[in-house]
Amino acid sequence: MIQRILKDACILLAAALSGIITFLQLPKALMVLEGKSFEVNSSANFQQVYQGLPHLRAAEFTTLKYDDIFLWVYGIFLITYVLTLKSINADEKRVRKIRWEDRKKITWILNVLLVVSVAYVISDWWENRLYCEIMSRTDVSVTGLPFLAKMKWLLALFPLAGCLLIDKKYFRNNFNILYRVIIVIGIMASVMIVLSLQPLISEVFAKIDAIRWYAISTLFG
Amino acid sequence: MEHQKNINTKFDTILDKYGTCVFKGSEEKGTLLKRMDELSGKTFSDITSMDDGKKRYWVDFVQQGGGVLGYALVGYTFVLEYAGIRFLRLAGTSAGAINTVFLAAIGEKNDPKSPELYDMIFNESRFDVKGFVDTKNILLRQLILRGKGLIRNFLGISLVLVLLMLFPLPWLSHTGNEGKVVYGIFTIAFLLWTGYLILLIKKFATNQFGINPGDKFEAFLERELAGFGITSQQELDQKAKLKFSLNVADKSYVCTGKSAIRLNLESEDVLRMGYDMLKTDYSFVTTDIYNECKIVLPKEVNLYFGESEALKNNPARYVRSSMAIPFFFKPKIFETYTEKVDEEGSRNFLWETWKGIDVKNVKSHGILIDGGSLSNFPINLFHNSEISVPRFPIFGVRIIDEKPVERTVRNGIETKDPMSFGAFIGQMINTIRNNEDNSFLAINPFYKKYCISEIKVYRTEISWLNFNLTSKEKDALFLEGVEAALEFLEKFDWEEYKIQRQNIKKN
Repeated sequence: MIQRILKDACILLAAALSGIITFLQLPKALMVLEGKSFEVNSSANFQQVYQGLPHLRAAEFTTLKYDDIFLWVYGIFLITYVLTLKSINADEKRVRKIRWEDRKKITWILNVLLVVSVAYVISDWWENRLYCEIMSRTDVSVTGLPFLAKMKWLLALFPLAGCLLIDKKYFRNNFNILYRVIIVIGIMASVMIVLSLQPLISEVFAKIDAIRWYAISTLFG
Repeated sequence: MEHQKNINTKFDTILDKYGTCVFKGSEEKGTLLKRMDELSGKTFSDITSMDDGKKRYWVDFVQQGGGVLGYALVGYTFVLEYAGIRFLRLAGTSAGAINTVFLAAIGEKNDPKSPELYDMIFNESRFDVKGFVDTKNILLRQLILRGKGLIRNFLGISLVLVLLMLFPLPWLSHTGNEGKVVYGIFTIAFLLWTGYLILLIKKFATNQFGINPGDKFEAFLERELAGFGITSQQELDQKAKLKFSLNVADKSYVCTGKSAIRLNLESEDVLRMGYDMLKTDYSFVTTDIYNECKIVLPKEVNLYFGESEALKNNPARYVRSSMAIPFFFKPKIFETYTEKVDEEGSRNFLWETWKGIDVKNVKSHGILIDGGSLSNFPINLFHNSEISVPRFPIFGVRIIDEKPVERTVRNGIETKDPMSFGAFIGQMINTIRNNEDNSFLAINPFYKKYCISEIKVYRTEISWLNFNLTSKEKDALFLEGVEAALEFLEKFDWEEYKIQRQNIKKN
């Protein structure tokens, strides 16, 4: 039960964080679509790529802060998901209809997924540290940062896809998967919508505040 | 009486589907059909009748409740009927009451009912189990039908939100404006969820602490019973409450009412005391929690209705009261009937004579919940301490949804698993609800040994409150009932039964 609650809490938080990160990275993504490259290998490279784009540069710093939290939350989610599936696989009641060979195969795959999940956390953390070095210093040069970024994506998505496949194919948790996917998309969308409306909301609140102060000062001198 | 529809009395559909089934562990006994055909030579009762040249054996039949696990009861009934067994007196609680009312209502008394029952329960347009969860609250309905059940789903969602609100979100809000936005969104979600829970609790109280109104279930019963020509208790009484008197000359029982059924007594000693009459009836057990007693309907219906009013009642109301699972379904409310009733010249109140409740203490109405709260297996209704040699046996079927206890011994010492709070409460409730039935069986171990069969539904791993059954799960439950009935009938020995039953009397 605790494991499942932790898993659900982590997926909700990870969804919210990915909503923030997507929102922050949206302008950059649009520019990438227009053909601009944001690949960086050194501090000098970073300064050059982001020259004249202070808002994107600021967004990179903010993204890094949230990504540092995201990697742990998503990592814990992956690990608890694998552990939940392992406990289902060990539960005689739940896997009565699954062949013994398949159960052995699932155990083996889940162990691999567990290792990959841990590898994801390490790779993302490492990438963030390298990127942080590049951004905050002027004399850093690294090789293979783009490769690490791609590797991180692979390590992040592989255990998720593996777990979903096992959960769906063998444990037939179709409904659970479906409604969690809907909730994740819902949270991501709400976070992005609210963040995009934030300037408007802040403006409305500021106006309300101004009216309030005007009313108070008029009424009470 | 309303026009009756044609009913299915042929076993073909069931046999086509399951006839070639071989049960695990009983492979050497052969297929289901072979095993059932081997039962044809056996004797099950001294009360018999002839139907299309085949001998029928008549027994009393009592069925335990068990929520949706009641599918197994239909499987059980199918084997009994295929073996030529027909039912005199019927009784049941909850799911057992549902099966009982249909066994009493379908066709004629000597018709097999299970083919029609099978057609009904496996046809979703007639028997929509999911539809019985008829709360109008869509989210609540999904929480009942999906995932890990209502309580676990509620607990899970609440704990996840509380956990997020307590630790990671306040921390995230210190990271930046975006974190504050996320905190705000989750705070709104948390407040909405809390408000929803408060609203549910308030509504719960106004709904007599029942989540589902149970109207769809009652409507289903009324519709199906009407199809079998039953719209009132009177009509069901005419069909299922029969009295027979013995004709000593030809050793037969002739019905004193309209029914043309003729039963034979295949016992040598026709002049034995208590053999002169024979009756059939039906009983549903429910619990009146307001007046604090067990109620057997329609026998004790006059506690709530006058004589003529009771006869007009639709039996669906009685069954609905018997299956009102506490909290899951709204209880059934009946106004109490406290008029004085003449009894052999003296004037008495039925509540005082039947229930020992002082008329001043009888509440204005009864709140009727699932009979299983006090007696889930009412076999004691059929116990007759006066008889010595029985003319017919009592068959009882229990639904066992708990695995037998597996004791673990380590280093010669039995290990005791710690009990959770939930399990403690559950065990407390189970002790109260099983006490009456278990006490009766403890005093009369004969019944446990010779009359009762246990359907081991725990092997299917299906919860008694799973109203979202797949067709495979329905099949599995049905077959568990079939297997239990086969095992019981294969072991049953009528002569041994009679000898052992006499010993009770002697003791």
